Amino acid sequence: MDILNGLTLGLGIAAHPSNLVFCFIGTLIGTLIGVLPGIGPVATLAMLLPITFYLEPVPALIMLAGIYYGSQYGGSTTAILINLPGESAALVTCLDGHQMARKGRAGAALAIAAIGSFFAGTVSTLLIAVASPPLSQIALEFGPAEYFSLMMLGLVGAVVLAQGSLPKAVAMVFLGLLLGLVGTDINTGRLRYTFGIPELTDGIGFATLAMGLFGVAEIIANLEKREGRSFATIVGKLMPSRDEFRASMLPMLRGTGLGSVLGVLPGGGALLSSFAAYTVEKKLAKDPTRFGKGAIEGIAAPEAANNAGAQTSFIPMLTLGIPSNAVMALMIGAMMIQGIAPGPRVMTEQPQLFWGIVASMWLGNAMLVIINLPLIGIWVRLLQVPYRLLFPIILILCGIGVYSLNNSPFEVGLTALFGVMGYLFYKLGCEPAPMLLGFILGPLMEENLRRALVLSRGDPLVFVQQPISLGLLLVAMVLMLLVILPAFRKTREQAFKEG
Amino acid sequence: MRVRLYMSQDFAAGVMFTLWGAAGLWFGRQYQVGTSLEMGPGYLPRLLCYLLIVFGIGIGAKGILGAGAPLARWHLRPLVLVNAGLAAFALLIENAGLPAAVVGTVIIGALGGQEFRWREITVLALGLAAGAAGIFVYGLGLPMPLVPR
Repeated sequence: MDILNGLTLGLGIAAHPSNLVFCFIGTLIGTLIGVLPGIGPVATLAMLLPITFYLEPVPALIMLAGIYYGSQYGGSTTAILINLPGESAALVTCLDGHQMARKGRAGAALAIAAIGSFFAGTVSTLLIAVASPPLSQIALEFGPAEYFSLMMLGLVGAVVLAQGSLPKAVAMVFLGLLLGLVGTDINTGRLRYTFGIPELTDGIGFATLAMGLFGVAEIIANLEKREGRSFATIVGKLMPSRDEFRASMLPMLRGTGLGSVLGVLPGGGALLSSFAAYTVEKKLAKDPTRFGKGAIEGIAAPEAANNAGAQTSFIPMLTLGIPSNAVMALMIGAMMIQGIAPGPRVMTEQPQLFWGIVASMWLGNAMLVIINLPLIGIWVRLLQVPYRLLFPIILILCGIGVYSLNNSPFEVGLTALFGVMGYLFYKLGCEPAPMLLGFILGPLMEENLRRALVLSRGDPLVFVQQPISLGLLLVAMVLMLLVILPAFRKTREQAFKEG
Repeated sequence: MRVRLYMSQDFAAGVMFTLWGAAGLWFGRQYQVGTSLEMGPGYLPRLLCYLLIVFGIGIGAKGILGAGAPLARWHLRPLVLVNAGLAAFALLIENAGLPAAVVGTVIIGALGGQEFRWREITVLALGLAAGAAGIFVYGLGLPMPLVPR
């Protein structure tokens, strides 16, 4: 199916009234959790996963996708108005966005953020449509060796692109891989690390782990901070001036390009994209000292980048069936709940699903501009709800979400345990994201590793004899070597330090 | 000086990773390792545990030698009470039903906050209990007990 036909089919599906409604619900929830600090898309998707069981596959995935890119819009509102990242990817938007708000230009900052996001959303939607069909064609040829090498590259990427200390990120990946082994060994049927608990024979639930690490631990970390907020309630005129608009054109374009590329990378996605875009703009600016004092470029570029990155991170998920970040892992979980095997076949066997999601992204982005700009008053009021009332609500949603997965009180208790673990990681400066990726990819890697070795009759050279597999491993190796180089390390540290 | 060194984040993280690796080895000591070509169920766990120990020692050493970020103060109140709230949910959901579990979780969890106002939290807890029952049980039809089983 060519792209034009695909998009027509997709638009037809996405514009179906019930799908439109779920797209709207998704983007609305996305904006809501984006605006609210202390709850992000990972925890939200994990909470809503059980509910999608009661939906058809297409509306379910349309809604979940909407939550992710919707949260990118909402996050900027909080960043600009109260100088707190509503969503982690909006962290850099605080720097210049809130400064603009204090100068009475909050409206313009919000408008540029929304316009930049919309522009990036449109471009990256097209990019998904163009890049996915050929990619899934290639992926159809993949055997276990290629998949193993690809996931290896994914893990290396997750480490390289992780925030903070490298050795800790590597150790966190190992820990994730180890936790992923809990349960029944697929090859021998032997139980590993189940401690005689029947609920663990199928392994630790991904949503349980994600909700503990990202939902519960986040609440605890937020509770130890004082609730001091610098609130800019006067939004002012929404229309940016012509100069502001002109100044943000190129940064938007660059942000979109950068975000689109970084989003595809494993471990990438919205967060990294926004940091990188901000750094680039600051480097390119004639007068870098303006940054941090309300430079409009410092809003336009990262906001475009995080939305582009959020959307292109769907590419590996939709074409290869491999999650590049935690949100995508949950999307894969949602597919499996619906009985759809993720992988390159999704596009040919479920064209209505693939194209429906892609087309819904564009419609969803259009909805988001309306949700975020004319309705800004609602979100401003929502931000005035104190955290002491919000966190018990988030907590109870975590509890109900985990319980409804398998009706298992044990898993709720396990979530609390992971909550403690998440707080420990937070205190020790260990990023949980690489661990989560290791946890997801671990069992898949082990399976493909063993399968590849069976097919090659135990010859480990199979991974370097097949050209695609060799290529992927070489890229992984180059990445690893790059990290050791001091020059690259400095750039990497700097990219994350801007915030 | 010595006391401050022990407080570094990296040192503590190194100890944590080493302990994870050691625990993994101990609890997995009976899994057959096999060979590289025919991996037993213990092959990957053991490999990962050794790697964790090596990295743990490395990170810990960096924490002793280098000037890393110090370990910040732990806030036990939210840590204990928020998780106790969830644990209460696990205990109450089947023994006392969803509304009771919601009320218990919200009150215990809210005690972990910096400010606790009885009246406010009572209203919130009752409202959430009614809302949860309405949305999840009546609205979505999730199989959750409303009253003790």
